Amino acid sequence: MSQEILKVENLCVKVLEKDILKGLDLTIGEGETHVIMGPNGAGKSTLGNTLMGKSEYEVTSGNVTFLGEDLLSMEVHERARKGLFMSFQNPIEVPGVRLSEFIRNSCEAMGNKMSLWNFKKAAAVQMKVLNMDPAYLDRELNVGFSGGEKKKAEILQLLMLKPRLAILDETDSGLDVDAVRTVSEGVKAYQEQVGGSLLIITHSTRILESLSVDKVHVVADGKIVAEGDRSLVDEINENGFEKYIRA
Amino acid sequence: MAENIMINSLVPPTWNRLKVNEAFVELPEKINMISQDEGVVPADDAGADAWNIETGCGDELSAYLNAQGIKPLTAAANSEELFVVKPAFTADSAQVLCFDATEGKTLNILTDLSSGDDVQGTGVFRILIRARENSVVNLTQILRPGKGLRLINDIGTQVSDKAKVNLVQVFTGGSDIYAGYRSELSGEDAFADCRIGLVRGENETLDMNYVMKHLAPRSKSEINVSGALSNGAKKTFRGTIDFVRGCAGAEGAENESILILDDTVINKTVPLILCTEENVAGSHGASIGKPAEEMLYYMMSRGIDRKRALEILERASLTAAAAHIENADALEYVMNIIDENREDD
Repeated sequence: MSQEILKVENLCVKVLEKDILKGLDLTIGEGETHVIMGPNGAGKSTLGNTLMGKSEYEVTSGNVTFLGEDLLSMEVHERARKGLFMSFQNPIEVPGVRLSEFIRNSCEAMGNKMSLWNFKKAAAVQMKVLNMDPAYLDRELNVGFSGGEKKKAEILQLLMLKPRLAILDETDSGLDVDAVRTVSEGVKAYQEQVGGSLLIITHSTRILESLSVDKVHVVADGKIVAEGDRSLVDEINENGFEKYIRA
Repeated sequence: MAENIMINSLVPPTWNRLKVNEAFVELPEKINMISQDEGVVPADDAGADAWNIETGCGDELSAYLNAQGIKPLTAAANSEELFVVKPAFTADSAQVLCFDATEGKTLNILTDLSSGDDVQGTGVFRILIRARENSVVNLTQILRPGKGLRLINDIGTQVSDKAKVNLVQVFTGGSDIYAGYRSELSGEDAFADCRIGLVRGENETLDMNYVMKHLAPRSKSEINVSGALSNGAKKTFRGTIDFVRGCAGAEGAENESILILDDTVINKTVPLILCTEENVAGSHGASIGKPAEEMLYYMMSRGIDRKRALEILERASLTAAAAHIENADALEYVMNIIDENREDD
């Protein structure tokens, strides 16, 4: 395994007094792509939000180390600055804040302050990958965006911010075939340009078609119940999650 | 001797204990007329009478200005080119500008109400607009007086058949501002639109009175306020949509969205819909509260700390209004000022 970037040990998480994660272990190496699959309610998105630091998610036990540091003791913005990114399942609308302004502020927060000119040049390159009209930069963040446009805007942020580890939370949900393909191209560009690690949370597999995958984990009832290589995806496509739920 | 006058009166009044029925402001014994800007001429006495248009601040302010000999200045703007007004406020000074949008014409007006930090006193700025048939008036105002200038900004408009008056106001500075606006929608299919962005902090106050008086059938009006308050700021917004008998088919809407960034602020909102005509549609909505944690989480997940995220949301209140500026030059002017403030952060 390449250099360890994320280590999750025996992670237990409560949301609104309900136990969701019940002792989850996961290790991701530098540049690796891991896929988390599982039925609805298994705890997949809880894992993503807990790693990102959402306040409603209460860690009751366990440790998470990211790039050698205790991730759980960091504020949300500190986690991001350290190199963690999450593409949201339902990206939030922020009226009055232009997409360009938001990404530029984010880049600045990451220590990459750019002039408007340089920012627009850099964004145009990445928007081409995503087949996005540069005019989107002047639109209010996610306001009035279709589902596909929101997900493209998330991947644009991924490409601009160049994190060390990106969590993609159901990035392909609700998208048509063409939109999934475009988003998938964006994720592939991230793998090629940045060489960062990926944790792809999904219960479908369309986004994985053009990506190289190192490991697949099946989550059921708050734990990882099966692991394997890419062939596990095919098996799940054929047989579903039933046997893991029973287990 | 200074005069204490009543402005921004709510008609009809509500309970006195709410202290929103009006504002009282002490005006100086002597106020000077601000020297003429390029492109404006003083109206003669007959002309001054013709500009007898009611405003949001009201009659007591009109009487005061008349008594002080503040003559209306008729602006010669009569083309689509942006007409920029930047009154040179000195201690206790006033200006009244009148714009006549002739039939079918479009006027683009920008007023930049600012003053140096050395200017101490009261500034009164009033705009009167007559929008004739099929004309369009795009009025953009940026209000950023220095800390020593108490500013009264007052507007009155008359809107004829199929005419439109679009107002965008951006409040970014000043310690005490009183703002009045009144639109008389006297023509069929007349339209008046107000988009207001405001940021108030550091014990700044803002007292607003906006009135849409629907007199004609199918007239339309809209008032949208977005803002952010912090650090001891006080804001009162009165928004009145008055449907007068005979304005069948008229529509009016007012909406306010205010972010309360800490517990030290006082925010008062008085939406009022008056109706003596049956066949009309009036609505009001308000969203007042702290920024959603979900939104802050999203912003912080991109490395932006909480303080900066709140600053970005504050600024968004201004840009949400500025986005409605129709004239490209006016938009660039306003956005440069908003961005200037950002660079100063």
